[in-house]
Amino acid sequence: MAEPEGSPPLPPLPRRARGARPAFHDEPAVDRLIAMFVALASEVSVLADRVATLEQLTGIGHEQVDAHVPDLAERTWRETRREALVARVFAALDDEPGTLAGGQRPEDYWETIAKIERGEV
Amino acid sequence: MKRIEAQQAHAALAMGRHDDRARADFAFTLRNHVTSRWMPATRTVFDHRAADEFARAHGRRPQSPQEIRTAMDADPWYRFYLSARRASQEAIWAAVIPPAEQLGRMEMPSAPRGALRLDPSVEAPAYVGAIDIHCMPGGYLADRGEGDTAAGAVYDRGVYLYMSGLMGPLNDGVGQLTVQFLKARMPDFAPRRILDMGCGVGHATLPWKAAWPEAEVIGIDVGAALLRHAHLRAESLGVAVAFVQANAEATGLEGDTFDLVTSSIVLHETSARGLPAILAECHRLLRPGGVMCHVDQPRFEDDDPWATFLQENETHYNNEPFWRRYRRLDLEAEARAAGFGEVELATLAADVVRQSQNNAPDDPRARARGFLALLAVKHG
Ligand SMILES: C[S@@+](CC[C@H](N)C(=O)[O-])C[C@H]1O[C@@H](n2cnc3c(N)ncnc32)[C@H](O)[C@@H]1O
Repeated sequence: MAEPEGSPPLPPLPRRARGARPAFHDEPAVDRLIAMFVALASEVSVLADRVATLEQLTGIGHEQVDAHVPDLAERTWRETRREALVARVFAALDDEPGTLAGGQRPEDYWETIAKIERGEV
Repeated sequence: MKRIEAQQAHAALAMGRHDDRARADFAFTLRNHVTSRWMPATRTVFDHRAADEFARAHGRRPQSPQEIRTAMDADPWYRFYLSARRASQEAIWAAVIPPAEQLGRMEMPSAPRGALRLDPSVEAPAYVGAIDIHCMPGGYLADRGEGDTAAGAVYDRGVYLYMSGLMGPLNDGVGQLTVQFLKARMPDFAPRRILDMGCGVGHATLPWKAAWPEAEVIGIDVGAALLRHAHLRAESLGVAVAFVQANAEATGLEGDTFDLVTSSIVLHETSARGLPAILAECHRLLRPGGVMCHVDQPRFEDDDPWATFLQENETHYNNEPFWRRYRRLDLEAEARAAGFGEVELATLAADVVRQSQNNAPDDPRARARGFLALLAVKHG
């Protein structure tokens, strides 16, 4: 977009809400699996849409697609794309280490709510 | 219930590229699935299993919202639902943040019809920034400086997806509803100066200018990046509105100068201290005879503990800190305490409320629900 002269680029945006994520299952792995499943379903849906877009725009048939072997440049581009996909699908695993490192506890959330409800802030 | 019509394009809207849009489309589909299929199914699980389990342990079926919660928290389907629902909320933000990030610094229009007045010395009240409301990463106050509109771009897309498009292509369903209500309730009212408090990106601000084109319309909020987005959006849509960074509790605007002070879905995100201060500020800002009109979520109905239980989930799992308390407040008494003489409450029924409260197709009570309008007049 239009970058005003001399301004440094903006830092990345945060990807998760602050605070510890609530636990819904006694076994934390279940919550993580559900989050991964949602992310994975999202990626599958995106791909299906992309295929549909390509079919609409080009009218290329199945045989041509089956016979296609990517060259090195194409392989490199796809690898980068897949790396990003893996990062998105398994993002749920990043959550806990981040919370632990930030020292955030679930109790902090309820302490803040109590303050707001009591009118202390 | 949902509305597939695409969000209306404008210069500030961050739609991203093909896959960004497809990811957002998926988040839309999943969110609607949660409210229209899973949310009603929670009742089935309660009636057919969770309540029975509770009765086996306690000798009677659950009565209060708290007892319903105890019963449901023990149910494996319900836990899975909560977990998936939380993930669906996160999927909305995950879809809309990257396109907002791609915007970089946005250039503000050089010859605007309206205005943007930012004031870095404005301090946001603690309740706005203490928790990332709706689990929106960075919250309302995220601001990376000059030209940053990301918090606004994220909010603009997020509202559309979260509300299943029912807010309309311009996300202005609540604003439109409020305008219609006021025009019907006070047909001779013709405000010349209008203030929209907690305007966010201006979704509910622009309808006031459309309703009374001669009026001067001002929107205030504490989030600078929200206001930059609001300004760019309004200019792109050709609507002359001034967006000003100010705290609604103490705006610094001149008293006795407004004919109408309004807000749209703001009060439930304030606090037990902030809300009375905001109402008192409304009273100060209005000219004698001026009108205050706030529209927000309705009070909990004590005779419907199930609805209350469902709604309280927003505090438990969707970062809504003041929600539980707000929805038990006596707003009429609050308005009187702020100095207003004539006060009334009205229900504005709408599909968008139903979607967010209980999207069960066959729940007659849900159909009658609406936003609550707090209407008051300042005496001369
Ligand atoms: C749910 S949003 C509603 C935005 C907008 N009115 C709409 O209808 O889309 C609540 C907004 O209120 C703002 N807000 C909350 N407390 C405020 C205060 N004391 N002063 C100014 N803005 C406030 C927040 O920054 C946020 O943008």
